Amino acid sequence: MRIGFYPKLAAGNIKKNKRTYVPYILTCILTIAMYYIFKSLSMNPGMKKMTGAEHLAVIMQFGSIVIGLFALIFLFYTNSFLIKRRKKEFGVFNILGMEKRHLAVVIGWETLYVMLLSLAAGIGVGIAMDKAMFLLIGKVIGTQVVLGFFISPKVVAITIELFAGIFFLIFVNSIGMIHISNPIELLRGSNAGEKEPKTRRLMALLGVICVAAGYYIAITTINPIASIFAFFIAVILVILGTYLLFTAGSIAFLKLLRKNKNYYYKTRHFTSVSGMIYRMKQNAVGLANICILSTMVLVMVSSTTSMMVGMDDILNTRYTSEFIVMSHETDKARNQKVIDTVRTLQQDWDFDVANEIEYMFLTFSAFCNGDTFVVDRNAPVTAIDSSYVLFFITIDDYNRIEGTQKTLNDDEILIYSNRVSYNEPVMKLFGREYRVAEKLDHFIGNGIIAANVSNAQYIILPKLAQMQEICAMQKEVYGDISSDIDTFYGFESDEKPERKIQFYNEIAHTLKEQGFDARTECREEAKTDFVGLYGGFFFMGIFLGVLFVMATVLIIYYKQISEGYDDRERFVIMQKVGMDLGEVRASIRSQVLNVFFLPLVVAGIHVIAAFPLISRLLALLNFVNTRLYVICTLATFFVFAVMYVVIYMVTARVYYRIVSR
Amino acid sequence: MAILEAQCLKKIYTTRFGGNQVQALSNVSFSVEEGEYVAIMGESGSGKTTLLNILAALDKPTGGQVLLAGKSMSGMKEREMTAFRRNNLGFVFQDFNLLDTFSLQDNIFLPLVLGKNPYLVMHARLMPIAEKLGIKEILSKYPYEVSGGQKQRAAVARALITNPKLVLADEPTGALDSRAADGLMRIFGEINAEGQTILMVTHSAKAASHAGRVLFIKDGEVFHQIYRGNSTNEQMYQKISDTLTLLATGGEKR
Repeated sequence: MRIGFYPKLAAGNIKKNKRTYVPYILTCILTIAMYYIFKSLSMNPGMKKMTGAEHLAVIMQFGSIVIGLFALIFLFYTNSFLIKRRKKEFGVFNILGMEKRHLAVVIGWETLYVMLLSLAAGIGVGIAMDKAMFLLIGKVIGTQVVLGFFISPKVVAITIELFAGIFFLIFVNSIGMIHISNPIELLRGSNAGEKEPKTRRLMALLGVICVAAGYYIAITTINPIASIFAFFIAVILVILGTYLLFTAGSIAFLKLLRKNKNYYYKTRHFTSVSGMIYRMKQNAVGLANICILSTMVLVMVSSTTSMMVGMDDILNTRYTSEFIVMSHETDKARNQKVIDTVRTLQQDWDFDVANEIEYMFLTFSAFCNGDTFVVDRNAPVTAIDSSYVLFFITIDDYNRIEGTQKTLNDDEILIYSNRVSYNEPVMKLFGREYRVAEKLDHFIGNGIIAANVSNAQYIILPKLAQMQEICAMQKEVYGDISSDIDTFYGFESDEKPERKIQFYNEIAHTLKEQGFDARTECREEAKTDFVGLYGGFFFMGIFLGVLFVMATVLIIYYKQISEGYDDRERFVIMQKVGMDLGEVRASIRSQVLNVFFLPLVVAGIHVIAAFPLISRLLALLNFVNTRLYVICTLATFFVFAVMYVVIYMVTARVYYRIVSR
Repeated sequence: MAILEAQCLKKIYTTRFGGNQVQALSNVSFSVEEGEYVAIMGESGSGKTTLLNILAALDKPTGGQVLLAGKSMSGMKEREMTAFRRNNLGFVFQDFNLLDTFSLQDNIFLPLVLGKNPYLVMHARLMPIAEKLGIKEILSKYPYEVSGGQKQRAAVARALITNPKLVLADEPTGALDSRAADGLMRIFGEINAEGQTILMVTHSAKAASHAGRVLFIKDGEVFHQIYRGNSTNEQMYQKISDTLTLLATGGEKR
């Protein structure tokens, strides 16, 4: 055949199918651009100069892998839909005398065009957006960065390599789809004799069990240490369950509806129930995908947003005072010396100081068994659920800090619990029994405990002697890993941020120089690290959120269009048999609405079920403002739902046009 | 009494760009009496399907009007028209037009469900029809599971279940093998014998030979018509063949 025939034919084919090809190429362009941006950001040399950049770089690296995987799956999905749609066209070519290998050449050219076009445009858009995104990150992290226009040939090369690979796989897949079918099958294309889906009750039941088990884990897991693992189990169960429910569960349910003759043989239910059975067969996996993606978007965006917004809360929980010195010296006198050193420095610097807090404390871990706390070095790891950090402080220190006048008898204590409340009337420790005089609902807190993922019980003892006695006894059990009575010294300041950090460095330096065993923390200094980390999370959440939403939009768009073509004939027949246009429209609307909003509703339910687990996980990261999290979740869900409705309206219009043409 | 009356029907198609006009029907008038079995014959492109679509109110004529049971369908609203069609007309199509998503039984029920009948009524109506058409055993099957002849019998059942005043059939044997076609024609003969009015469009002389009257259409006009009188199917077939030969060789209208 003439040279140039295939390329021309391929170009013509793409032009003829532009209704389906334009969104496909747009998808490719956007995916490539996103990948390029992510990859380029993670490799940008200027990134290293930014604060908290190490975290961000790791996150970005991880992100680019996720996007790469996602691109592969998604482009595969959209392309196989395209080829299915075009089977009839290929069938005609085949019958007109083109062999399968000629078809392969045509498809090869088409794939090549799409690839070149989307790579060029994608990288172009990527480079343009790269700069914008970089400035945006700088803004989010709150540091001023002036970066040159960075174009990395290496990143361009990586992007081209990756997507060339993906397009090659897509090409192979398309040929495979054409190759296994004969011309008649090709001609009939996608609407050849569809069989009614089978009812798979066992799978439906399994789906219910999976989702229920996932929810149960999510709702009942109390201890955040165990919940990291539980989280993954729950997520996998729910994902599996969602797929099973959408594929088998929906069909089992619809068939149950169909068995109810009085319900089924009603004008409104008749066509929609039977239509849905088929629709679910084709769409179950796609809808389950949408549902899971939506859930991911919602969880990711809402949690990262609340962490970003609630950053100050997090910092305040973790760093109870702006400056903290924790002295871990051998005795009380030397501890006092540490604090005196800091006080001297404050005077030397003429440093503004307010809200000084000073107390002695003892902390070690124990296992809770009813009302007894067991201190045992060889406790099994499985006991981690009942593991507690005990934090002791005397009533004198407590009254001084909190400004209270509480008194305690020798066998009485006050108790405050940070996560799991203590509900026994007495507490036993080292063979001694204390009566819980009062359960406190507030305590000044201690950042070290907040940073620890275990549950803590804060115990206020009547006398220092008792604390020393308990200290001696835990030393006996724990030996070389035992704790001492430490002194905490914290204060606030009104100085400028730069001076705060300078002063913090001075304290740390001086204490080290003088050989003191003390730990110094500064909220201001930690903030830059936190912003780097959470800013990265936030950026990634929004970014992947946008990516997933885009994927959702396109999946739905493709679904509507493919179904529009299939449904057209069906509705023509129904009109001939005596269905008026209004009924046709109502029937379409009810089916489309069901298909459309089912994933959103299920995603909403998933998010609600995940709520307790996510809020506990956030608590691990010192984020304890549940109200803020609720607000962020609701806001995210609302924004998402609005976008969803807009997509629905746009696609529904296209759908009507196809069906009623 | 005339159940269907076509008066001076005219249909002109205009191509979308430029005013290229094609006249499908120029002047068609005829009437169908209650209990009649009428076949309309003509070559491809003679306007048969256009005529049927207009009779069924699926298409609008450019001129003239159709009276069904004395009522004109031209002034009706879409909704009214649909209900009217559903209650008064039964359709049998060349390509069956059964929905793949429904079992045969549900396909047959479709017009009744659209007419909001309760299940028990539908069931009671279906049974005798299914029995007569010999599809009782396969009612729960799906269209893709049964043969063409069975599909067409299910389509006939769907057309009959509303007790229509008139059954319109568009090339009902067109997609069937000869045995299935014979079977279907026998069924048409039987239901006509029970008083059902049938109007069938076909270009099969064999199929038309079962009818009580055959109308021939040429160039958008009723060219000729044959009454059965007392002839047998074979004699009728002979008459039709003669007329077709005449039509094909370009005989003058007499």
